[in-house]
Parts: sequence; structure tokens; C-alpha cells
Amino acid sequence: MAGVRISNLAHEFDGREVFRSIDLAYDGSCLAVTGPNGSGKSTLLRILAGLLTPTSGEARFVVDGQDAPRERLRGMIGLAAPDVRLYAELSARENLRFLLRARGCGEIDERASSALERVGLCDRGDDRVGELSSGLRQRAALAAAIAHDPVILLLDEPSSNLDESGMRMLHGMIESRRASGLVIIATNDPDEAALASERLDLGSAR
Amino acid sequence: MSLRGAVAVLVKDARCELRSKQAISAVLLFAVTSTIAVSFTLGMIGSDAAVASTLLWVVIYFSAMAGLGRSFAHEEETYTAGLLRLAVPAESVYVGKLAFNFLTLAAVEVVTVPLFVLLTDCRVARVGAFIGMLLLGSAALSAGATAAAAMVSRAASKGALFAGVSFPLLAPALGIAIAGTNAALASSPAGCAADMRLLVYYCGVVITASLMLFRCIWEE
Repeated sequence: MAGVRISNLAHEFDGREVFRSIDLAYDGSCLAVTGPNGSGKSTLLRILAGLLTPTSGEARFVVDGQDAPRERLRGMIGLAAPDVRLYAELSARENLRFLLRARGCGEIDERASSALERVGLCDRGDDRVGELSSGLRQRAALAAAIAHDPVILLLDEPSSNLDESGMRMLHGMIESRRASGLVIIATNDPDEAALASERLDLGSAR
Repeated sequence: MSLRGAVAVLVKDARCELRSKQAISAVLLFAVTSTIAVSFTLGMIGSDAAVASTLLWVVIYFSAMAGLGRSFAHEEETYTAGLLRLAVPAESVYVGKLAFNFLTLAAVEVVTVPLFVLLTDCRVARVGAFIGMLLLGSAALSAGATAAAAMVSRAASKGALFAGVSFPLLAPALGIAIAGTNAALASSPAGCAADMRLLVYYCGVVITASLMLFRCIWEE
């Protein structure tokens, strides 16, 4: 099982404070990060994913009771976020194959097909991502986040552009992923936040 | 570093490039037009080996500037850099991008160098050494340009900054490549071998330093 430890975390962009003094020790299966626009939900997820260094403080993951070293996080984390996009020139399947190969995974074709099937993108998996609608692109991004079976799944506004069947797929995916690891969702959607066992409200951390 | 990750980046970049043709068309167009322009000048002043080798490398250098700087900037502009950082170790990204840039430059040279030789009526005394200098010089330009492209990829005015950052890094390689190509054109085996050795050392130093520093450039 996985947990997250955040201590005295603060971040600034060009001297403008995004959030400060966030402390959290969470060992459950699904955490919702909520707060108004600009409160730093996406920034926090980028810090947790290792894509951004915080101005001060520390954020780390604990997997099976041990600190997860940063170099091992690459294979442990899956992230779907609006500012992390797939290659528009490649098909969804080619994107997944590239990511799986780069991560050193085996059974690349099987994993890619399985991930596309889980997000309901089997029929359009060979179309170029640039030619997909925004909803199908979001499904492809979710497939890329789960294709390598990460222990930690970070989802930033995951329901953006999804239709009703997409929402059902997303909720099913979150339920199945939380059974085997940790899911952290940054959201303003009350239905998504309700899936979590605990909520971190960044509106109160400013 | 994961070699598998580097190969994955190279294959991905090649596949994206074959479909979008962004870098290759920019570099090729520049290289062909400047080769034709240079051939008019050489036609007037005569094809002296020193002048021909200098002009050939000026064409290759500016072609590299026109296309290789895009390798990381494009990832940032299309919001795919985060995906790359999440999935591939930094050193593998550098090696994959370096290999892709080298192949791009080599592909451009396959078209422009014969065109240059043909249009300028330039005599190549030692063909093997000439091709060796082109390959080593291109590897050296690619090594330096790849590191410089990563450094400037998140800056606001990438184009100007890329030229400014890369020139001091690439100037020694450019000087050696010109001298070595001059030796190959004028049939001076000793000078050519010495310049080839220097380019191998240059590549070794730049690639080693880039591998050591690239994580700081790419991830921070």
C-alpha cells in the first residue's frame, strides 16, 4: 500500500505565493485535493509527481512502509493532467507503446491494448491523438496514466471533457485503482471528491 | 541511464518527424537554398579548398541552428515535456534526442553535400576522410546543440538565445571541422587525422559533461 507525507510545503511563482505550510500524512486509498481556482491543486500534483521542485518543504511517498526514492517514482506514478499531453502526431496506441517501452515494461502490446480497453478507446486507439475529440483525448490521457499499472495515480481534473459514459468509466477506474494503490484527485467536482476517503482543502492553506 | 529509454525517444521523435516533417523541412530548405547561394559566390571566386570547406560548414552550422534547437522547445510548446520527464530518465532523453539530431543533420547532408560538391565544382581529394569529417563534425554539432537546446527550451525568446548559447559551445568543433575538411579536400592525410582525433575528443568531453549535467538542466 502507498501513502503520502507532506511537511511544511510551500510554493511561489515569481514571488507570488501559491500555497504555504501544507502538512499531511495520508495512508488511505483515495485523497481529494480541493480548493478554488488558483489555489494550487495542479501545482501540488506536479510537485508530488516530481515535475516541480517546491519553494520549501517536502513531499514524498511511502510505499509498503518505506520511502519511495525519487528515481523509482518514474515507474510507480501515473499522472493525467491538462498540462501533460500526449504526442498529437502519434496514435493513442503508439503513445502508450512509447511510454511503456521507455519505462522498461514488458508485454507492451498487451498492456497498451488493455489500457485502451479500460478507457473505452479500443475502436479509436489507432487514430492520431491530434485527430481525436477533446473527450477522447482525455480518455487517451487516462489510458497513458494507468497503462504501466502505477501504485500511485495522480489525476488533475480527470473528468474534464468526459461525457456521461466517460464519467462512469472514470469512477470505475478510480474504484479499481484505489483497491491496489493510492489515488489522488485534484478536483472541484463534488461527485469526484466524494469518492475520496479524505479531503485536502487548499482554500484553507493560503 | 536506460538505453531502451533512449531508443524509445529516438523512435518516437523519428516517427513524429516523419509525420509532421517540421524539423527536416526547415533544415533542408535552409540548407538547399544557402548551398545554391554559396555556389553562386564560389563560382565567382573559384573553388579554393579552404574557402569551400569554410562555406560548406557555415551552411551545415546554420542549418543545424535552424532545426536542432526545436528538439526540446517543441516538447515544451506542445505540453509533452511533462510526459517525457515522467516516463524517461533524463540521460536517456539526452541520448535519444542527440541521436535524432545527428540523424536529422546526416539526412540533410546526404542531400546538400553532393549538391554543394556539384554546384561549386569542388574536388574532393580524399573521399573517405571527407565523409569521416562530415560524420564527426555533425556528431560534434549535434552533441553541443542538443545540450544548448535543452538549456533554452523554457526561455521566452528561444531562437535568439539558442544561437547565443550554442555558438561558444560549437565554435571549437566548427573550427576543427573546417580545418579537417580543408585537409580532406586538399589531400593532407596527417592534418585530417589530427582533426578527426580532436573532434572525437570534443564529442567525448561534450557528451560526458552533458550526461553529467543534463538532469539539472532538464528536471529543474
